[in-house]
Amino acid sequence: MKWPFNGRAGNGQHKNGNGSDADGARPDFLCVGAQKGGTSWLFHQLTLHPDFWMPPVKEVHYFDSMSKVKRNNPPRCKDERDQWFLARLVELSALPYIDLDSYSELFAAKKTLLSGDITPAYSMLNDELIETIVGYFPNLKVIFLARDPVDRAWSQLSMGVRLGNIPAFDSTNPAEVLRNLLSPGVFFRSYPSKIVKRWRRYVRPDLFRIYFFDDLKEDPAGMRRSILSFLGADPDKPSGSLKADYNGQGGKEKLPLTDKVRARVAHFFEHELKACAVELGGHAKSWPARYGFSLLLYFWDLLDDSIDLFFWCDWIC
Amino acid sequence: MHWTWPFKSRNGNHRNGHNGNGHNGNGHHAAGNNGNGRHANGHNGNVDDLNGVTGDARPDFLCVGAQKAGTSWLYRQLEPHPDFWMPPVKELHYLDNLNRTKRNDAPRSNDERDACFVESIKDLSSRRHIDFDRYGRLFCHKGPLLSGDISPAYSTLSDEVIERVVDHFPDLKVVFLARDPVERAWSQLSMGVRLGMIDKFDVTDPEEVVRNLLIPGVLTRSHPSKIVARWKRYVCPESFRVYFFDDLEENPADLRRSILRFLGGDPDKPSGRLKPHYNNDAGREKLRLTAKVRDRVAQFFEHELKACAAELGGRAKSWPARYGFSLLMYFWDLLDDSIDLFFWCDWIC
Repeated sequence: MKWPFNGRAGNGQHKNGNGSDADGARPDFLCVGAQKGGTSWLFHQLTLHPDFWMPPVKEVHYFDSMSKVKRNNPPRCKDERDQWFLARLVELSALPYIDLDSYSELFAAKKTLLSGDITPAYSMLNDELIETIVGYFPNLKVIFLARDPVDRAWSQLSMGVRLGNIPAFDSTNPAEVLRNLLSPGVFFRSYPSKIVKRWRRYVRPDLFRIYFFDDLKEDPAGMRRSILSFLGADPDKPSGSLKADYNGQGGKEKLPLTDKVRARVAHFFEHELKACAVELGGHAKSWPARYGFSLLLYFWDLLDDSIDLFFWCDWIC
Repeated sequence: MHWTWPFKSRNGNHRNGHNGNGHNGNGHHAAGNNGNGRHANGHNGNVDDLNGVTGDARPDFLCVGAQKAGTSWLYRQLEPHPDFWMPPVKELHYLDNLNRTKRNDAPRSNDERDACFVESIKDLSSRRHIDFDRYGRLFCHKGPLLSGDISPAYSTLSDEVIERVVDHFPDLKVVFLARDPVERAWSQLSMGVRLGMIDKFDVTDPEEVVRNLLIPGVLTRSHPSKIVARWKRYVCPESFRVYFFDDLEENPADLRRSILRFLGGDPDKPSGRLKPHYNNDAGREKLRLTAKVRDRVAQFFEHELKACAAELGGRAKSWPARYGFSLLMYFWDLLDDSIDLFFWCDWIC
């Protein structure tokens, strides 16, 4: 049995691509975001876990920008496997077209271990690309780390200003903050309900998981366990000497968030916060209440819309 | 009871709030404007003030593609039409890349309106954030006429931005010109090679051709069923229209009439001396398409051709048969999937 819209996608598009070759040269999973949702934490945990061989760069950035990205840190280059991966990646990014066979080959070095591509920018991929990827790798697991859009955006703005990607701005001025939320790089990463909906259209439910940043804060060991189990690794094995609550970001400076600005940002995301509660469930169900929004009204609105639709259909007929 | 299309009205609520606030206390924000003081862009006040000066400063419509499906034809028909004032550049590219596009041709520069428009859009694209108010005010020069933005790259816009645009301009009409994906892709590849944007390749080698279909700029423009589904999610049905390149080939006068009528222009007025069947691209060289390659490209798009028949209807219903594909099997597959789904749900419960 096949999940709808999935089996179909693979048909005509890639004659050779079934992605399930016996040699296992392919990613086992993608983590498609969110930026500032804990993806670096995940990379650190998996890199040191004995059941994984993770690529020497955390973010391969293949499907969003053909790996043509400026990297801040030099990639890991510890052994032949790393060298091999990096050399193939250079070749791959020189091609003008998406080459899924060669992308798979990047992961040949993992042999019998698990591996994957953690690129938060994949949260911005559109339906066309998602369908192409999933059609080629029908068994690919996909993970999304979701974070309250208000917190996430603030964390991204803080990082952007810290790294100089975003010019410093008056973070106590709500209008200035809103303008920055509308810079494309922030805006397009700020709608988890839409990201999740897009991936769910193509990935089978048993291969897709949402995890919550809320859990990472409250119970990182529990979250580590469930992600490892989902990916098919042994959750009892430690990640070297790295503790589950290791946070590489700890102590990095954040922009001060005033109550007024927080309320304004929450207002900006009100609709999205409610949409997350419905589309993502889990911890997201408590997000709207943090900012004093009632879900009851959201459902009432949805109902009201349906009644409109009903009348509209009626009126058409 | 308000007569709105679902998922639309909701978003409008909070967006409007943000517009209002977004224009308070942004003194330095508008300071970069000059040379067009008599127009809206010189102001840094709020929207209400501006309405007095500019009237209806917003686009009346977008044409969101497809590339190689007649968007230049449409621009040329509307530009000299007396009911329209079209921007001096055909493709504003604002919503896809804040107008940071290298242009091959110099923008039209007939009068002061054109000069002002070019000045304003330059200012707009120097900003780092999407500013829907200012984008709307680009169109202040149209006066009582109709105007719009014909940017085929908008076919690649995501749900996130489509929702915002439609919220901000709730009366916006959206037009999509659809073309058989096999022909469209071939036309795009031909143009790409002609303009040097795509490296020359062996056009008789099916696998080389398929590789070129996987160039991101080609792949993400090649699935009309997905493009239309995205826009339909946010634009109410009476504001959205799909037209077919097939009709442009067979009966351009009629296609012109129906588009003009939909946009609110008078279809009986001529577009200056331009005939409806005027085709600027006629005679441009195309890559040679062998039967073998055509079959391979059709196979690549088999699923999409069938999806178009279902999602777009109209002329698209005859597209699969051109390549010998039966729609019957497609519906059978869909049914099969639903049965799977049914069993799957059953198994979950």
